[in-house]
Amino acid sequence: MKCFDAELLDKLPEKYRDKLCFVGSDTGKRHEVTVDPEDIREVLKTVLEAGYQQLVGITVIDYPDQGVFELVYMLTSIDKKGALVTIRTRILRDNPVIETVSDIYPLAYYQEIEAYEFFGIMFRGHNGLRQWILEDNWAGPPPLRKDVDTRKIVLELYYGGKRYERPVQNRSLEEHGSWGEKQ
Amino acid sequence: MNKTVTVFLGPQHPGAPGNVSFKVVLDGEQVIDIDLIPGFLHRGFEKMMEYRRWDMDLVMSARICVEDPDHVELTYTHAVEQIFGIEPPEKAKYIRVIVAEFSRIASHLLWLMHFAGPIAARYAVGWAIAAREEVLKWFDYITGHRIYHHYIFPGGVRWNIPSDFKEKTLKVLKTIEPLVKDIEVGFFKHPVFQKRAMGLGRLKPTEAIRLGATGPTLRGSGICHDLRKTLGYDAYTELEFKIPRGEYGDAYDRAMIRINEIYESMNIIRQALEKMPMDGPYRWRLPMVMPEGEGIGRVESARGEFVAHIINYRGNQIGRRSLAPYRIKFRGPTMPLLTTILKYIVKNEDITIADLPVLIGSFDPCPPDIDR
Repeated sequence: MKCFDAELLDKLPEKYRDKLCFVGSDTGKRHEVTVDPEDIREVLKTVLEAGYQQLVGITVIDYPDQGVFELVYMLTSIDKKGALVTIRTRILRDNPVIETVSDIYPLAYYQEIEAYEFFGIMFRGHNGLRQWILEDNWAGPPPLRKDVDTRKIVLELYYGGKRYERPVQNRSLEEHGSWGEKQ
Repeated sequence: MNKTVTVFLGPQHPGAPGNVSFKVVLDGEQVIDIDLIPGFLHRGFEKMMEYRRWDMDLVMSARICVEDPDHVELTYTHAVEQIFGIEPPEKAKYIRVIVAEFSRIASHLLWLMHFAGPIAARYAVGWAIAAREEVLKWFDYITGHRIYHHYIFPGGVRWNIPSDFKEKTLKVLKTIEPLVKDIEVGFFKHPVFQKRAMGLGRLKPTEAIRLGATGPTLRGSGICHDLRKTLGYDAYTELEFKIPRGEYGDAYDRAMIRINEIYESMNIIRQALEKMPMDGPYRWRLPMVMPEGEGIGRVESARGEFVAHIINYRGNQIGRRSLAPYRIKFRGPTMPLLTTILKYIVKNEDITIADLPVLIGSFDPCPPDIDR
């Protein structure tokens, strides 16, 4: 609970000041605040003003039992010796739309593409949402969602529904038995 | 005639930095725009880890970055230890530091091969690989594996160290030090290399921070930032070391930082060997079931900040006692280097296609940590 960042507390919008807390241990100790999804741009702008210039990453966590996606924005400050702030927000799973922050933090542009292709989250105002890492390699639904069984989809799409068996190529092996017996 | 040509660089091109491709827009020889095409090594690790036990995930995590696997294990280990709420034994902390620093040396030496090769300095390639071979032999001796070690383990390290650990380690350092010195004199002070790298790809400190640079790229721009020092994880608080930094933020500075870091790593290893307790436990045994919780592991890897974010949540699975973590996210240092920073430099500076291998090589990218 000690070493609270006073500058961050000052700059945060008033309604979130009580919610700022200090959590974690070891290398993961950080300030944390949970915000409403519609305020995410406003909050991140204030955090940038408070000196947290780098976006480390955006973690998306899927909670199908609660019907939400949780987005965790990790921000760090070089001037403050690598101090970490995590901004958490929750959006509905049925309508996963949130404002983009790619104009505030340049790296968010690519992190948001990743969140789009792996979780299907739409970022309003982002001009380049597309398949990037999975381009030409994945035809199923966003694979990191919890209700998507990638193993089943891969078997159906690429292995003809059979487990660990390519239907055409392996037949010759079956007909001839194992390598040693035929001799 | 003002016609632009689009050229693909990689992934099979020998000058490409690993398993990525670039879409390069050219006007004559001049590079106007560059776009990254990742995904050639996407293995879906984050999803696969959700199907496996947390101790199996450690073995997988090492595969994320081939060149520097121990730092990925270390981030994963830090995150898991935060969820369990434990501290490793004192002895394990020192062993971790030594293993991580050797991993950094091996990674920087492999980078030298990737970097010197496209500039056609074949001699440096051979020397770097010869020096790395000694480090790999040391890894084989201490962990039983050459490339992926799975040695750093939640709760400590996997095995105890052998009795002749100190002598053997010092002998390895003694063998590689002259080789590294040779490389420094023969390659880094070579006028041809200096001519190609000096003044190329300058990155101002403010821009480096804004675009998300970490590690040697950030320090090359003159910013003294190192998570080993600022966070002081494991035994780094007990050890004294300098943080090398550059002045101009060009490709030459970024390269020189890595060679200085090799010397600094050797210094750290020698100190750690002296201060290390030789007896005491090396690992706490952990229960099979990971408690609910969240952990963020951050370490300074050879390329910059590596983050593992693990969330363990049971929710509606209560009673099933799932042994797999609910969600793991890895953040590698390469994504900003090859996307935002490369684009920024190409847009703001005259870069020809012949400069590209030097420029991209000076970032020391490890594309697998974009794909994962």
